[in-house]
Amino acid sequence: MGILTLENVSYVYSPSTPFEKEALHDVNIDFTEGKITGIIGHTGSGKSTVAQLLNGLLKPASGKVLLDGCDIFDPSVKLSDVRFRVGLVFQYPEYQLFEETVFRDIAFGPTNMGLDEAEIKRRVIESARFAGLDEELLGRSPFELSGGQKRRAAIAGVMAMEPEVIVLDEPAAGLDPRGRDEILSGIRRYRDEKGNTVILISHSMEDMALYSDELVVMSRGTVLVSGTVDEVFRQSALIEESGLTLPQITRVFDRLRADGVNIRDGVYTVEDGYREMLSLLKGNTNA
Amino acid sequence: MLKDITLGQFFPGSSPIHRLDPRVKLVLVVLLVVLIFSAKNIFAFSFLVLGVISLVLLSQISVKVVLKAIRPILILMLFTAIINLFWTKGTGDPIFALGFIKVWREGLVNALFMVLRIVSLVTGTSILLTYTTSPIALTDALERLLKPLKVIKVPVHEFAMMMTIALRFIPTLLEETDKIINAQKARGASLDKGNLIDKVKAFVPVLIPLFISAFRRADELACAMECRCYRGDEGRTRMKVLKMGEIDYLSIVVFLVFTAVLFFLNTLPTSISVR
Repeated sequence: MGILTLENVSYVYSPSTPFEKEALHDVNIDFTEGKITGIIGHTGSGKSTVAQLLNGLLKPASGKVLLDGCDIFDPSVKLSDVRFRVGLVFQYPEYQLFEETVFRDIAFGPTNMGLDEAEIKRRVIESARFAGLDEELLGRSPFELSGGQKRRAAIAGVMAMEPEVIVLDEPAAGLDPRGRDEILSGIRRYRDEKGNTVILISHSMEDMALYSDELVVMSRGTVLVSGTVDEVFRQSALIEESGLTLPQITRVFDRLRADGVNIRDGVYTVEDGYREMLSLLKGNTNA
Repeated sequence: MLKDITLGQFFPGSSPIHRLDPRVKLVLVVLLVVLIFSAKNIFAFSFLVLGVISLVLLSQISVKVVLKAIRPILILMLFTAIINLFWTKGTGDPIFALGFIKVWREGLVNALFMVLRIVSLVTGTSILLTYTTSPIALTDALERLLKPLKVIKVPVHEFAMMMTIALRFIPTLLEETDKIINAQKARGASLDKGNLIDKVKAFVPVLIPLFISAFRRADELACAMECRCYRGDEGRTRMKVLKMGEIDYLSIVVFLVFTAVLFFLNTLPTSISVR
């Protein structure tokens, strides 16, 4: 059993009204401690609903959300504690900034936790570093920052609570490729140094292949496949059926192999492909 | 949670009342209010209530919804009834007396009629207007009806446009508020603890982002409107041109007949009438 578990969870929006819509149906996901798990799926597949269930912002219609084996909706569990232990970064989090300085905005979460000043300062500086925010920006107003910097500040605001599990809903949406790489690799560095569990929500197969250890593919409110990146990407037929596509590089290599080129399968990142191609070319000239 | 608040509760439909020209509806509503207050005796009131009931039936809106509209004003009705009951002095002997509290028959009649007036007022206006007319159609009608005021330099079109935009953004801003509240809750903000001052302070993290996003949206909308060459009323044509049809003329005739009958009933001799 992992650190965070969804057990037979279903969720319905606007129940018993004409707008009733079942967003999740009997979902079971087990998030492994210390890993980066990617949740991937089409628009409307239920990814964001899962995110809000994980820290108790939404209450499942049926089923349980277990944190370290405890039901988070058990009366003996304080929901505010759950929210400090499971940090959630919403989509486009830059719209939640409000303080006079970036420093104070990042400190909002830790202050709510009731930490002392020295500890708050340490956490703010550290999380700003993980999010890739220059220390000199901390004294500025958050509204003077560029879009990408605002995004980083907002992510740092959740990281600073040092939650055991951090859930990021499309953290790189709408950023240019460089900003996207910086933010995602910052998140991975955070995991590597802190050992905390990370849950990434995205619809980019490329990003997921590059940054996650495990993957959950969702489709129409259910889990389609889950497992390690390798295990999931091997089920290519199932994934394409759900309307998602494998990473471009994987498709190129699959096609090459189908045409009789002697390369291995399981190439999911451009880096991998580059190395594979290089060794292939070297092998050919040697022969 | 915030989405439960509904403003301008429009129920789409295709009943005869839905299909009426919104201008006609607006004018008829004003006249209906006048009628409600000119009813004087039991005959006129019965006729009026009959009229309101047939309005409800014609609109095909469920009685449950109508009752829901009346619920918030129950207290007001009760209050009015009580005041009328005890403060109306009649002639002759009181029908009930306890110390200084005296109730005359006239008070009872007045209280009953006041409650009937309020119920017809709320039901009539909501059935004719808010439940069966989309907010956009309503502002459109308002703009057309107030057009003569342009002669005295009242910016009628601008007001109507502002109203339309405001109505359009209510659901958007509600959704946005919900989102920001959730985001701050995820950072451990507690919005419902402590005394009033604490609560107001706790809302700062919600209000500031909300204001900023409202300004941003306004900016973007202004830009988008300018990109599509919006330049106010001058030379602007409409997608939906309001046009009076048979049903509109018919409803005006029916209403005039109704008015005539009501005024006739008012003149009938009866002892059960408003003083």
